[in-house]
Amino acid sequence: MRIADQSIKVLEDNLKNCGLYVKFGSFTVRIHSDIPSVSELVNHFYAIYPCASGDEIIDFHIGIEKPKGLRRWYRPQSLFSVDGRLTFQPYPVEHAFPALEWGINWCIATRAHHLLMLHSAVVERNGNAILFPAWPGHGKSTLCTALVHSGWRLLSDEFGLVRPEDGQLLPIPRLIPLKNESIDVIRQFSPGAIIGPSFYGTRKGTVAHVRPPEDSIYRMDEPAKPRWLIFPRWIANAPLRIEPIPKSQAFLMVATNSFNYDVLDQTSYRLVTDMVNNCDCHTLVYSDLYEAISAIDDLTRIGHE
Amino acid sequence: MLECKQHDLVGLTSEARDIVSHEFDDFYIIYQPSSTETHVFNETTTEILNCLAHSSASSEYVMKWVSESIVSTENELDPLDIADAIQRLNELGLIDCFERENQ
Repeated sequence: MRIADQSIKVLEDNLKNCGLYVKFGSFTVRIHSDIPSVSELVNHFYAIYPCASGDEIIDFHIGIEKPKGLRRWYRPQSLFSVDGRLTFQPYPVEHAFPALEWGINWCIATRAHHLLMLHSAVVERNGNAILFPAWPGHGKSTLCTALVHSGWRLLSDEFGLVRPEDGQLLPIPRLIPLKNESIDVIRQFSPGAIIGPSFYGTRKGTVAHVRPPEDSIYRMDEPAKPRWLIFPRWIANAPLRIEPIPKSQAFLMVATNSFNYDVLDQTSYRLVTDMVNNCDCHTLVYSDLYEAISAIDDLTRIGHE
Repeated sequence: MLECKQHDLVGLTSEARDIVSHEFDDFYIIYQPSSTETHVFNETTTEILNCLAHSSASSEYVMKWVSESIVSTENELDPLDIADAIQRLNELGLIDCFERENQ
């Protein structure tokens, strides 16, 4: 069953009462909300995501709700909670949806220590995945969004989730939060992309969410094998440069970009070593998305042959 | 931890025998279970550990051994670099330094 299989009325009731159970890859989240804009956007963006039955183990019990008291009415706020605990300062109610999206990612990043979590976008084609580990602002999400609207499958724009048992990458195809100038860049690059409203003045500037293509959501249980590590960096007006880098350097860049390398101890060491051994490692400097995608296609075609 | 002096004997600690190493290019990525840390060692540092793999040795011997083992492929090593590497391994708990008169 998918979210769209229930009416908006039922969805709103679920959000307000028993909670809406949503599956994001291997994670199941229960969401509570009494904020109308949240139910509208959940209905819009999550329509084709699978519902969980309610019998499954819930990874995170999330709330994004109006506070009691004055702030429910006067300059209204929204409160994000995890397992019944308030974790952050209140958000303006108009930022409730981006807070929900960001908060779910925060839960994963701080709790999912059964997996090695790399700060990386991941896309896949023909069973082989590219990881794009990068620091914030390096153009990872923009590049990833362009790729998934150019024939690649999205595993994640934020998490390289590595399964310790076999080193495979687990998908978690959540909404992609584009920021500031990237929003218009993607609107122009892919006019068919499903992009939500822009939220102005959030803690990350202007944010607009892109829903992953349907195929990425339908295949959220299909892992992929890491095959390329590409460290992207967007620099205005820079000529395209895609260059191999030493594997020792790639190891350090992956390990230092991880959310929990230190938590998993020797397991992390083994997983990153295997990943770097099995991947071609490159840096990519780009300013033009079309050039970057063409170069990535060429690189991966050669690597795949 | 005793600071390594020039005439000390140097030997591997038990922690050093548990390390896991993987060579990438000319560097070695080392996992040290006792500290749960990952280190990057260059060839000089790795050769110091190799030199001490079977028995303790004097600092002078280690420096000579490492210089000779690397000089064939690389430019001549600065003895100070080797001394620094010995000191760093000592700080990491991978080697011990003993004053010779105590042996």
